[in-house]
Formats: sequence, C-alpha cells, structure tokens
Amino acid sequence: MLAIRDLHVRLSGRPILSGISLAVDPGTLTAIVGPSGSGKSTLLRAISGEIGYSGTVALNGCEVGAAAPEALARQRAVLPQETQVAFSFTAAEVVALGAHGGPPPPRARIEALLARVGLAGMAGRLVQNLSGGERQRVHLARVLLQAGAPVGPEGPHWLFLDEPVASLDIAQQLAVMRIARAHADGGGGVLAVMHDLNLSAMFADRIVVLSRGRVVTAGPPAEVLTGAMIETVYGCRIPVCTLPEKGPWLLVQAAGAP
Amino acid sequence: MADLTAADLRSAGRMVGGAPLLVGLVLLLVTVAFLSLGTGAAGLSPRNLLAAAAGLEELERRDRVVLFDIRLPRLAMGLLIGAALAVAGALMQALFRNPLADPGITGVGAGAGFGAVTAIVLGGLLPAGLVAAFGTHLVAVAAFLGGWGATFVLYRVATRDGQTDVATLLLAGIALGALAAAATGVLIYLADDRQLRDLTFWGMGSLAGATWQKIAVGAGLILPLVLAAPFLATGLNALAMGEAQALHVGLRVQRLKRLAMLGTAAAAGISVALAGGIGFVGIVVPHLLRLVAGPDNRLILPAAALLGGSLLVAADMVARTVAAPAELPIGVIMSLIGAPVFLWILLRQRAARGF
Repeated sequence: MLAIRDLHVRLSGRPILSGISLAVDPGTLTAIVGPSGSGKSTLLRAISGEIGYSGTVALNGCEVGAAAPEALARQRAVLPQETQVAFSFTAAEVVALGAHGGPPPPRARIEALLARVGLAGMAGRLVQNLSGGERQRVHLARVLLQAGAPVGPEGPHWLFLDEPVASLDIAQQLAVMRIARAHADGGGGVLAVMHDLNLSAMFADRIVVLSRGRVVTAGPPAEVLTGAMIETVYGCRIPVCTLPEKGPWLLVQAAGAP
Repeated sequence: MADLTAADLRSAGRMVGGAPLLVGLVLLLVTVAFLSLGTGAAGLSPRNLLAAAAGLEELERRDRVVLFDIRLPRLAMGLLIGAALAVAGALMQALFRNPLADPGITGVGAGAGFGAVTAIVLGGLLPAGLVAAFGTHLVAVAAFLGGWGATFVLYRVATRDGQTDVATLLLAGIALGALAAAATGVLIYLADDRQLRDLTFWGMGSLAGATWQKIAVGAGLILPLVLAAPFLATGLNALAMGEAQALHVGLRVQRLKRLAMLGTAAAAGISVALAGGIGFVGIVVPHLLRLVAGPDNRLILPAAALLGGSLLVAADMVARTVAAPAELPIGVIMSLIGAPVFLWILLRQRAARGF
C-alpha cells in the first residue's frame, strides 16, 4: 500500500506540490498524467525518497522520508526520465547495478532481463554507444532486477517509472507497458508518469491527473479521460471517443485538435 | 557488477580481464622495483643485485649503504607516493563522474600545498604542545586539511543535482589553484632563509628526500588508505549513474561522497606533504587502466595503486639517470608524460561528443 497524505513539496522556495493525497493499492497500475510542469516528476521524486517533503508518504507502512536508502531500495525501484552513466560501462554492468548491496546477479539473469526488454545479445555493448531508447531499456532492465518478483517477503514491490516510454517506438512502447502491466498483475504496484493518454487508457487501472501541483481528478480511465477534463487541464479541445468493442478503453483523437 | 564474458570484453573493446591485469601489474611492479634498485649514479647494477640475491657475490660495504640508505628508501617512497596519487585521482574521478578530475588539475594539490607551506612557515607560531602532539605529521595534517578544503569547495561549486559540470570543475580548479598559489606566495614572502630552502626543495617535487622516518609516516597513512579505497568501489560504480539513481538502488550517497572526498584529500595531501608537487599520475594511471580493462572501480582502485607505484618509480629512474650525476625533478618528468596524455583525453572526449 502506498498512502500519500497532504503532501507538500517546495523546490528553491517555490511550491511545486500542494496538498496531494492519494492511496494506491498494490496489484494496480496507476498512470500520473498532466501538463508539463504540473509536478508529475516531482511527485515521483518525493515518493522515491529523493527530495524532502512535508506530509506523509507511507510505502508498505514505512515513512519514505525517514527510511534508510537500502531499506527503500528493497521496497521500490525507480526509473528516471533519463540516466547518464559516466565512463564506459557495458549494458550487463549497468543492469547489475540494480543488485547494489547484494551478491552479484548471475549472468543468465542479466541476459534474461535484457532479452525481456528487447535487448537480447546486447550485454557486452557499451551503454554510451547505445541509442536513447536502448539506453532507457537497459535502465528498465536494471530497475526490474532491483524490483525482483512483484511480491517479496517484505510485501509488494513497487515500480516508479518516469515517462518509461518517452524515447521508444510504438512497438517498444507496448512491450514496456506490458512489462509494467505484468508486474501489477503479479501483485506488485506500479506508478508511471505518462504523457501518452491513449497508452495510459490502455494499460492503467487508474489515472491521476495533476495540474499546478494539485490532484484535479483520479479514477478509472473511462471516468477521468473526458473531453471536458482535457480542455480544463491541458487547455485544448480534443474529442474523446470510446471504442465499444474494447470495453472501457478510450481513444483520444488528436486529429480534431484546433 | 556482473563478471564479463570473453565476448563482452571484445564487444566493449577491452583488452584484458580483471585477474590477468592485476597479475600483470604485480609483475610490472616487481620488475620496475628491481631495475630501480639496480640503477643510479653509483656503480651498483642489476647484475650485482642478482648475484648478491643468489648468494654468489657479497655486496661491498659502500654498495650496501647505497642500496639500503639511498635506493631502497627512495623506491619505497616512490611506490607509496605513486599509489597515493593514482588512487586519489581514481577516487576523485569517480566522485566527480569525470575522467579529467585530478587533484593536480583541480586545485586540490595546490590547496594541499598551501596547507603544507602554512605548516612549514607558520608552524612555529602554534602552541608548542600542539606542535609536539603532531610532531612530524604536522605538515601532512596541514596538507590534508588544505586538500580537503579545496575538494569541498570544488564539489560545492561544480556539482549541482548530482551532476558535475566539467567546464565549471576545471575553471573552479584554475581559480582555486591561483588562490592557493597567491596565498602560498604571501607565506613565502614571510618565510625566513631556512624555511625558504625547505620550500624550494619541497615545491619542485622530488623523492630525493626519502628517509625511513618519512616512509614510516607515509606508509602509516597511505597503506590503510590504498587498502580501504576498494571498499568504496561498488558505491562509486553506482554513483556513475548520478546521485539520484545511486540513491534509488540503495546507496547512502552522502556518506559515500564524504568518504571519497576525505580519501582524495588524504591521499593528495600526504603525497604533496612528502614529495611536493607531482602532477598527472592521478590522470594518466586510471585513464590507461579504464582504457584496457573498463571502468569498474573494484578493479580500477587496486590496479591504480599498483600501476601508480610502478609509473612513479620508473619516472624517478629516468629523473635520476637522464642527466646523471645531476638529477631532474620528478615533477618535470611526470608533466612531460602527463600533459600530452591529458590533451589526448580532451581530444578523445571532444571526438566522442562530435565537435
């Protein structure tokens, strides 16, 4: 269980998040959406224990701001928007960093994870020579190594993903979202900052909409993704169609934008 | 980190795995040490040494003095200082996440130098009890404090959100170096004749002053440091991803940074205090190692100590023989080797960034 109550974050004296309260159950995938600058990444950084906050953020019952880094690392793994690795490490070496503090992971495990993110046979490649999308998937493999099984002895494992599909082509986007979905279906928790509303509608159990540091609305995609919400939050008029044969899925039709 | 397969090594452009590299470096160290003992202005040659070691030949009394009072202390000092400088460089590069970070270039050496000069010139003004308590360590302690202060300021200036800006790092290093040099200049102006002579010898950077007493001081500080540094290696590897990502995988980032800064300042400070300004060891050694064996700090830190010692002893051999019986300062030799390598790294970085 991730319980956020009355979360406030100020960066350089400016309020970024104001009074966020959210409860997220393990076994679900939650998409956090909202315009650029609405505080999505800051929310992820706060619940990751990366920056200070006021209020409470309880992850599996322990307060994130007061937890030791190694204790947090056993509860959650974090994929930032971009990671630049200094020096010429190989993909296998970077993936293995996900096992920091523990025994070195077996070679077969690393190769399996790289294959899972679509990078089979790339273990020996230097990360600095990979494309942006390949690099991001190497780090996803590292995050998956750290998270391990969706549920561990200490409770569910959480994945905090900041724009996990930003630099990927459409097939890779689907592959990555399926991996996140599988983690949630296995009983783990997933929070993903997303820009793509269609992908969010397809994969998320719940969508949380942030605007100017506050939660505007939160709920199942079919309730949240309305033309009215998009117009209020993003300031542009876009028709939203429901595909009946896909059940609650929605299609945000960008072609109709003014 | 994962152990690499032979295919990985090939694919990553690495020439050698960890274990063969360390074995090779130990052999290199032994060879260089032996050559160094058998080289010098006096007539004691490697052949004499071999014969004596095999028990075929007794060393003359004069040769024994040369060996045990001149060449052996100098060899020990070279190994210690070289190891300290190379480890300081490797630690600093991992901390700043940049291959160009080196105590000599970033003003940390100059800060340590300022500390050492302060102790030499103003040490007499301290309460006698304090001076007695530190004894021969006073200059080393002052050099460490100077080096640590410079490292701290540098980190605060050049690093933001866990990312270091190279341009700021190098520019701040120039400013710190200039500031330390100016402050040192003021102290030199205040110094008396005896202190001036001390300062001049010390400033050129030389292993010539090696005595067993100095070596005892150096070994007591440098050996624990060199042996402890590899324990930071896995943390420093994680830090290569940046501070936030290192925190995410469970690293106590602030503690690691503090330890790496202390280690850098201690290693740079001690070597500056004992051997003066010797530059570029900290750049050249870790860079060569990363080039042939990759950037894993679990390998780089111990390997840097071995190669750093060998390199400095070899450079000292050149310094002693090239203009024999006169002697060039070893700092000059190292700069002759190191400055071109530094430029070469800059060129490679430029090529990698494509401009």
